[in-house]
Amino acid sequence: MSNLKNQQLMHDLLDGQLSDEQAQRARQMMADDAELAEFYESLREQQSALRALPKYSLDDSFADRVLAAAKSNPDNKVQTGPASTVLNNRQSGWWAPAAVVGTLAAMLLVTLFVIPNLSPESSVARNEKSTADESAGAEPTASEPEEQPEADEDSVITKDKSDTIKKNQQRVIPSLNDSATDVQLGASPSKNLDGEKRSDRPPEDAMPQENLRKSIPKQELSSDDGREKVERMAPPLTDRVAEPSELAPPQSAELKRMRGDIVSGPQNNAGAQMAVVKGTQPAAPQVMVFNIADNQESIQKVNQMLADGGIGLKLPATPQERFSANSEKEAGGRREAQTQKSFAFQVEATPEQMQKTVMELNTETDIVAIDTDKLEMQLADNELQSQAKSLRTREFRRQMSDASGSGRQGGGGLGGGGMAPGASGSGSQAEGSDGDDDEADSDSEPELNLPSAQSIRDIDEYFRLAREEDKLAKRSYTLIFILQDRNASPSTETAPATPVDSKNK
Amino acid sequence: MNKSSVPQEDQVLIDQTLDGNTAAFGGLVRKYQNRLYNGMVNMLRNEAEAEDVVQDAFILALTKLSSFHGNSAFFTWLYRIAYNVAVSRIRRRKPTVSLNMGSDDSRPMEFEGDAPAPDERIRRIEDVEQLHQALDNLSDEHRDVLVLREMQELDYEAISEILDLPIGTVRSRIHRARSQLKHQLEILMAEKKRSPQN
Repeated sequence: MSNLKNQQLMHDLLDGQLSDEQAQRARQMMADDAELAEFYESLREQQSALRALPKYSLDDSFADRVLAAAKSNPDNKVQTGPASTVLNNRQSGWWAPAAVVGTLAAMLLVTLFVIPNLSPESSVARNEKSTADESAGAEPTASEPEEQPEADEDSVITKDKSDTIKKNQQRVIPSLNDSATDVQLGASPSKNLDGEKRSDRPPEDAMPQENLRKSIPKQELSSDDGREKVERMAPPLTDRVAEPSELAPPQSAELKRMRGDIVSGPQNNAGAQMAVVKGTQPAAPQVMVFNIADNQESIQKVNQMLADGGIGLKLPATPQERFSANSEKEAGGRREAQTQKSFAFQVEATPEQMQKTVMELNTETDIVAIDTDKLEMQLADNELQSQAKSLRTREFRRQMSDASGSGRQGGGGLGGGGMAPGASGSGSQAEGSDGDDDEADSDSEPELNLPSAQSIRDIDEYFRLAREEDKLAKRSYTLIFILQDRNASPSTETAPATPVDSKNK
Repeated sequence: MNKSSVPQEDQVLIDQTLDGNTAAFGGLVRKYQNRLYNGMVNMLRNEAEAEDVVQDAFILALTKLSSFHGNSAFFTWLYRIAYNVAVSRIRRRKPTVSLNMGSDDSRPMEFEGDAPAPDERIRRIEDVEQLHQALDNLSDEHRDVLVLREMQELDYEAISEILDLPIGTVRSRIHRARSQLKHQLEILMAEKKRSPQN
């Protein structure tokens, strides 16, 4: 029998996927190989048989029944109005609790990623126990397969975004590790940056999760040089969870889709690292975390890259700016200025814009980031899945080895069961099964979300797919930048924190 | 908005619906109801359930019509909604629900082309039953992709959009599905040969 490649060629010929030249070549091959010709004929007959299967039909009154059913329920009105109308209809549905769950999961991811990578002095670590407590409840829920929304949620989201989000609006949420601030991954983009009250906030009694609510002190900050005002979103990341009403449905839905996998890459020369919280859609990653070396040069580089990408964010580069963008902290009866160590931005950008930015960062800083979901699928196409798994397993082990050598524990925390024995053998197991099934793969392989040497290509491919899916729609991205002391010298700017080891368990 | 993927006829009906003329949506329903229904019957293996899904899908499409941007064909968008509804149903329903497509005579089966002669009809019904049985034996993902490609005659891009998979994965999945179907048919034919009285 002809080899697999030739058989695939026959499938492609049958489906009209070949160019004229390729088709001509394929036909010539069939002429030379009777077995191949027979294979093609069997495919063609099978296709004809399937297409000749009896058709089923609905009666003529079906359309009337549909319209009558649509009219009988007032919720079924055509939503042609502004996005807020659409959103309000959804607020009492699935997304509100899903938003909480999604936010919990996303915050857990950020926390998992942030804490191991922050300097030991990070005050985030002080809150790690409470975070772990919250996360423990959120994680299993977030990782469960979610029920399909009944409609094409993406399209709704896109529409909502376009109607409600101001162009180029960025939310600057300073200081992840400041005890007075917080990152709201799902914070509403419709919320006015200047602190005006939102108009689409649902009534208080529509908010579940009463116990999660805490007041949100706001502080308007303005840097000395008159840069844009930023809104403080307190309290700390680890102490609170965003209320459903604070979550814009676009983000909420996106977070809902997140599986809670986080992909991290090794540090690079210029001191940047990125983690991608992957979604289940061929869309750009919604949350990206960049670790940047805590020096002016790196920050300026990143600022330049962001500006080049049209994102328009600017990280405060100088210590003065960072002091001014932060509050004083009450410590031991006296007030101490704290240097801001982390910054979160929520931006609206097209996948193409975001690709450009990420690729810029990647070029400049050797960011390693992959979306394993896409990687699995892409590699499945090339029948290389098992090799990829093996490759990533080796890479993971190498990194773990490096990490244990340097005393860094982050990989273990993210990898979860990744250290389970036999991980390397899972690739060959999966090969025997249907290789294109990512769910099946996750059964056979521990949750290894490992960086790969192919990351640059993967990112490129990832965004290409995202562009194919929706070239025009802007999406909401959360970019988190964490300044990291790469020389591990103890910082004098923040108070000592508890050890981070326990967090990684 | 990129409306290049949407036929003019559909776009007119969509615009009219969005302008408040809900009856215009009836035109879209009538145009696509049977095509969608066939896809759902083959996916769910249950005609009544498929009808419910199709109805739900159309109602959802109506309510979410403003979110249709025309980046894909209307039918692709509609099918994706129906597919999601069907997947939800499959997840919810009891595993004991099983259907024999060939035994359900509640609806007329329409053979394409001229009506066959009685003998030919019997043979074709046998073939159809065998084919349905082989399809039933496939995994859901293989059956779904075959339904979309071979029966709905959708191209890889549309299938990719509906199933939310990269085109390359769709391609490889179709190849595998065909091989699996062929294998199943061979098994069934071998069984039939072993028991010719049946």
